[in-house]
Amino acid sequence: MPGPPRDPQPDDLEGVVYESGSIRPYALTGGRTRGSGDLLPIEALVSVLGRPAVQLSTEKLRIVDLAMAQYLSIAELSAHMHMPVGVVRVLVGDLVEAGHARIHGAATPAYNPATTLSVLESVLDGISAL
Amino acid sequence: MAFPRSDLAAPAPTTGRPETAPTTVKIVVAGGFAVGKTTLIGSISDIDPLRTEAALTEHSVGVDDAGDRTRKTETTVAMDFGRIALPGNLWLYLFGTPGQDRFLFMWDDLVRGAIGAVVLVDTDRLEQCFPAVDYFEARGIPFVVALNCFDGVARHGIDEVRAALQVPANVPMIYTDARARPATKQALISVVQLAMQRLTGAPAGPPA
Repeated sequence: MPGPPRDPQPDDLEGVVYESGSIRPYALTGGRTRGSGDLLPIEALVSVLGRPAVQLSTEKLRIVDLAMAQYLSIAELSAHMHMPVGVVRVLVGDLVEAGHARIHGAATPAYNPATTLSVLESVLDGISAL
Repeated sequence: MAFPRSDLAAPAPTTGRPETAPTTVKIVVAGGFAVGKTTLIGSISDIDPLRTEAALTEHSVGVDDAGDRTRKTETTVAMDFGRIALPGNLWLYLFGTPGQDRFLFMWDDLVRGAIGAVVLVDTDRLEQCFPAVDYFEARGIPFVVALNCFDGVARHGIDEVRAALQVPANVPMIYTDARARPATKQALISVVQLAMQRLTGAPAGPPA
C-alpha cells in the first residue's frame, strides 16, 4: 500500500511560476501550514509600522498595506485578502519574525483577557451601555 | 518619558490607530445551519459581518454520497464574524461557527481564548443544536442557549426545550431575536455574566 502523499516542501515551488489568481493558497506559504504564526488567535491584532525596505511577496505587502493604518485581526486580514486563516497566520508569523509586524491584543500563554475579571467587567459595562 | 520625533511641526497623525492596541476578546455564536448566526452578529456589530475562510484537508471515513469509504477532500469552511468597539480600548469579536457538524473539530481553534458562547436555537429544528451544546458542555466553556423567536413568536416553552436538550439548570436559557439589537445585547450580557460567575465562583444559576 502506498504511503500518504508527502507534504509539499518549499523546494517544490522554486522556479514554479503561477499566474496571479490561480495560486493554490498554501503555495504562497511554501506549502507550509505551520509556522511561527500558527498559534496566533484569530482575533490577535496585527500592526505594521511602515513599508519595509526589503523585498516582500505580493501577499505580505498586502498585509503590510492593510495593517499599516489600523489594527486588524488575523480574521479581518483573512477576510479582506480572501485567503484562509491558516495562510494568513503563516504569512503574519513570517512578518513578525522578520520584525516587520507586531501582534497585539489577544490572549498569550501568560495572559488571557477572557479570564481576567476586570476585562470582563469592562466588557459587561460596555455591552450594557450599547 | 521621551517621545521620539515629536516636535511642534509634526503633522497630525494620518491614521485613526490609537497608540495602544485594543485588547481583543471574543464570543462565539454557534448553532445549526441557517439558524440566524450571521443575522445575530450583524444586529450588533460595528462593521458589516465579514466572511473568512479556512481551507481544510479532510480525511473523512465512512460512506459518502458517492459510496466511497474513505477519501481526502479539500473543503473550504466559511465563518462570519463581526466586531464591536467598547469603551476602555476593548474590541469584542463575535465569531459564528461553521454551520455543519462535521466541522466541529475546527471549533477548538475558534473557541480558544473565548469568553464563552451563545448557542442559537431554532426550536423547530432542535436537534441541530445538539452538537454545539455537547461541545461546549464537554469542554466546560460558558454558554447560554438562546431560542431564536422567528417573527417574535415563542413557539416552545423554555422548560420544554430545556428538558428536550437535557441541559442542566445552571445553563442559562433565554428567548432572543437574532434580528434585534436589544435581544442580541441581552444574549451577550448573559454570556459575560456567566463567565464572570465561573471566575468568581458565584452560583451560575438563577437564585432559587
